[in-house]
Amino acid sequence: MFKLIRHKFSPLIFVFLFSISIISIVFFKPVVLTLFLFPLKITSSFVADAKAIASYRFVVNENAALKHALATTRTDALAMVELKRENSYLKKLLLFKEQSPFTTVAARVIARDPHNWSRGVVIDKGINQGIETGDVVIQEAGLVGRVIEVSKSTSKIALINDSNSAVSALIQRNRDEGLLTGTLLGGLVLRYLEIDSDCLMDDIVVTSGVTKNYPASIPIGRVNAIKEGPQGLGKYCVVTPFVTLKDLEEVLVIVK
Amino acid sequence: MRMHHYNAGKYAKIGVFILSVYVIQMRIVPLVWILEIKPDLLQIAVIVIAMNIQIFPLMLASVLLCGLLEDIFGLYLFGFNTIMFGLEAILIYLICRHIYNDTKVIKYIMLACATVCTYILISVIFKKPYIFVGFLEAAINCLLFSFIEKAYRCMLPLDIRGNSLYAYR
Repeated sequence: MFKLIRHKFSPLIFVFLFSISIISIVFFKPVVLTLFLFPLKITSSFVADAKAIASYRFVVNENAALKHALATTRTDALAMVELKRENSYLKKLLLFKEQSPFTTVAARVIARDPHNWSRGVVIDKGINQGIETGDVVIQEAGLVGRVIEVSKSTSKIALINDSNSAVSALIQRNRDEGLLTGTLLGGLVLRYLEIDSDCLMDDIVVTSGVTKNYPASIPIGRVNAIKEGPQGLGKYCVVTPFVTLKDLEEVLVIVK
Repeated sequence: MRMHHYNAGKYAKIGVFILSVYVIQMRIVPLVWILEIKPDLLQIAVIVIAMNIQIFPLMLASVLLCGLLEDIFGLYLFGFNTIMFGLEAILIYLICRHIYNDTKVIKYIMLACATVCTYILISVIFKKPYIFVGFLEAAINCLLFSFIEKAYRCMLPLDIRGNSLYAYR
């Protein structure tokens, strides 16, 4: 039924075909390539689509997992920045605590006085940590205020810029004494300086220790303006505190 | 006989409104407010509540809660705000029953008067001229009044009688 037919090898045909191939590859290379690649492309895109359909559920799950991981990483990164800042701040506070001659308790500010007629904060330490009414509150930069009310686990602190606060203070350079009080608008004023006091701008104000309420030599702030008192009887200085009283976060309470 | 239509959902919303204002006052205002004189959002909330809630016991309970929240973290005179807010709210409640309270100016006048009166008393108690601070705070409170009122209206929209909570008789 079937017969094997043997063709004779014809070199001419071979040469002819070979020449045609070479010519077409050389001159019509892009066309030839496109022609041959077209079915491959179709096949490959079909295979890719089939693969994508097959792995759709997996990709969706993976996408959700990656999104979740990204969100977690972002949150962690933010938390890390916050922790880094807090860590460096607490390190400074710890260093200050170790160097400080006083026995101190570190506390965190948990609330601020909502009124405009008083300036104070509430901290998260109280009687249980050995804090008593009248204890002095400081920060590594300087004086913060005084404890005026204590409960078991919280304490209220009147800041030095509270209008009812008064601290006996002196100018470090010339030892001129005065009374540092808060103003109604939350500023600080060193009152009752002698009229001939030679206080200068940028002089440093520290606690004098005249009264037992505040230990001596705790830095308070820097002289910002010098003015003459009413009726020309004395001088008073506007003082800029070293501690940023509006942004208090952690403080140290000097316990007895 | 007076019949109150008690509505637990609305009462809960008042509670949520007061607590939200309290949280904003305590945690957000100190962070974002750059001026030395802060607004008193709870004071504004008291005026809004006194003008809008017609059920007297509920109104009084709400403003006393506001006062208590303000007193908790205050340095001096614990209970002062509770009493002041209560008195202010009763006065405003009584006034609002006799006037057409939709007039915008009345609200601001009442808020300013309430703030300034508080500061007059504070000045007398501490023997210091806080009245100037009072005027500044009154101005700031008036600026923020409409925001708090809008927040209240969002949470407790007015009913057909023009009240967010009304004692039906």
